[in-house]
Amino acid sequence: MCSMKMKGMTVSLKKQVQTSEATRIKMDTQVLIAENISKFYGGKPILNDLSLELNKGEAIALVGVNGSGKSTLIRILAGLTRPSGGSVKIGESITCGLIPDHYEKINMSIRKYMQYMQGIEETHISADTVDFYYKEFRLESFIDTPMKYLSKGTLQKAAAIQALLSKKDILFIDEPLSGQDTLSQMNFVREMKKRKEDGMAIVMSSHDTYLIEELSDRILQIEDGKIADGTDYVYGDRITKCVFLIRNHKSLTNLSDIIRLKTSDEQLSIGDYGSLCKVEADIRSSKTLLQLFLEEDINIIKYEEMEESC
Amino acid sequence: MLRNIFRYEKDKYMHSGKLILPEILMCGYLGFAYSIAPQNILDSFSLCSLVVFLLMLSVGVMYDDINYQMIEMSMFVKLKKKELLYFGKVMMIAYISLTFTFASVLIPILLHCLNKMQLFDRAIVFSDILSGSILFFLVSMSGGITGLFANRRIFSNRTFAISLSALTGIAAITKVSLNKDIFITRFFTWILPPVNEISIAYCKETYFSLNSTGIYFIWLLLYIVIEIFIYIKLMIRRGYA
Repeated sequence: MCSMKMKGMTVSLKKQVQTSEATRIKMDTQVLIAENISKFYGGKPILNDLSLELNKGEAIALVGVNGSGKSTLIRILAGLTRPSGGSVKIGESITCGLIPDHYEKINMSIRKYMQYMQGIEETHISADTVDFYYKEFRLESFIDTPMKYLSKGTLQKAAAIQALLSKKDILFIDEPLSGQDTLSQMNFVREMKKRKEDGMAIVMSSHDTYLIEELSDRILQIEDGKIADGTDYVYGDRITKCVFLIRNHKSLTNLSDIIRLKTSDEQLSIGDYGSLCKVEADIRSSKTLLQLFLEEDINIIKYEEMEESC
Repeated sequence: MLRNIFRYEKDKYMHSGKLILPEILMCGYLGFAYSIAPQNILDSFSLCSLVVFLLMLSVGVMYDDINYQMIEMSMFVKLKKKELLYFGKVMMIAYISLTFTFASVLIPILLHCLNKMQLFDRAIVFSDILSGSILFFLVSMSGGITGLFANRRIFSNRTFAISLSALTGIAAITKVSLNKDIFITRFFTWILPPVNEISIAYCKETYFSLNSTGIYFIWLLLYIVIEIFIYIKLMIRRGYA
């Protein structure tokens, strides 16, 4: 009997060790655990018994129709709004950042604003880091302009920079690319990928398929306040596209005509961004386009291949 | 960290132009109140403190009009100690209170000097300046912090918040006589800042007396500390719905 008791104790102890070991491993990889989250506004349920876990270096995209509760969920996860029910657990040492869907037109220059944001970070941020992001987001010429005079896209860039100033464990982003120019969008996605590799977890709400496809590891569709069962956000068939970012010396009409004459690509689209021009086409047209740009003496700033749904 | 939050709040507030109207009203009041001579120095400080309380109450109420929620949200998420964000606002109220204190103490002294020492019925002593400064600062702080409660995250109806603040302000400065005339009001007015009590006690004697006023200073100081504590906790609890 004594040995049985001893045996039982050993098993129980083993179980305890295993459980604490499992918890430790879980806590090592998980940065956020949300359990049974629900939220009601005026008695109307917005989120209903929703649970999710977020691991280090993982990016979750929240998708769904407008008003489905994506932004509310982000606010709850970020600790900005209290849920009506359930809990959100984030480790004490975890650092968080937020890029909201818009920024207000405050009467303060970006330079001044960033100085204050640098000052409230836990770690010291060098002026070089801030200058690097000004350059990455093409903000150098706006940094002394009061933010109240800046466009939505430029303000959105400032919102992105303040969140990227220091190393974060979790970044919450809500429609971060809205209004941003193509180059800045690309730089933003590249920076996010780099941060992800360094272990930063991302929770994003976005309608931008480019951002979702480039970054997300899991796509959660929110429907009727819940994560829709088995829905992996189907995009349909995918095609590979080539994207040229070129500096346009000629008028866009001339350039479009020349490109359209030389290629018979149905997927071809040409976007005009002032002196810059973004040409998207089927990957099979890439050689023809490259040749054409060389012949026409057009500067190619960036070339990228990407998969897109069709 | 706190220094930068305060600097942000200060920059935001100073560029908003929200201080212009209270400052004009303050200067207008001082110009009007000290146009008659001779005056009792403690009486004039006592009356002026009630005006400062009302002005600072309006400063606190209007503070919410320069709220940039998205920017504040991104700061809130960043901060490990969320309290600091709201303590920065309290520091800004303290900063504005200091400017009102300087104006309320220095302008009368300056006018006294300019009027060949004829503005007040007796010579100004150091205790007048020190006690006056403490009085104005504490009363300003209590007004400003009380006004901070009238924000959209605590009262979603702005009209109601402003009306309630106005009522609070009037009740706070008339509390003692109100309680004397209408007995039942004392069951409600005890919760208001003791500015009326302190203003009455302050001008009881010809010279400042710590014995008769000290207890009210401590009472008001504790009131402000409790108000700040409740404000910060409440703001964190309310979140950004």
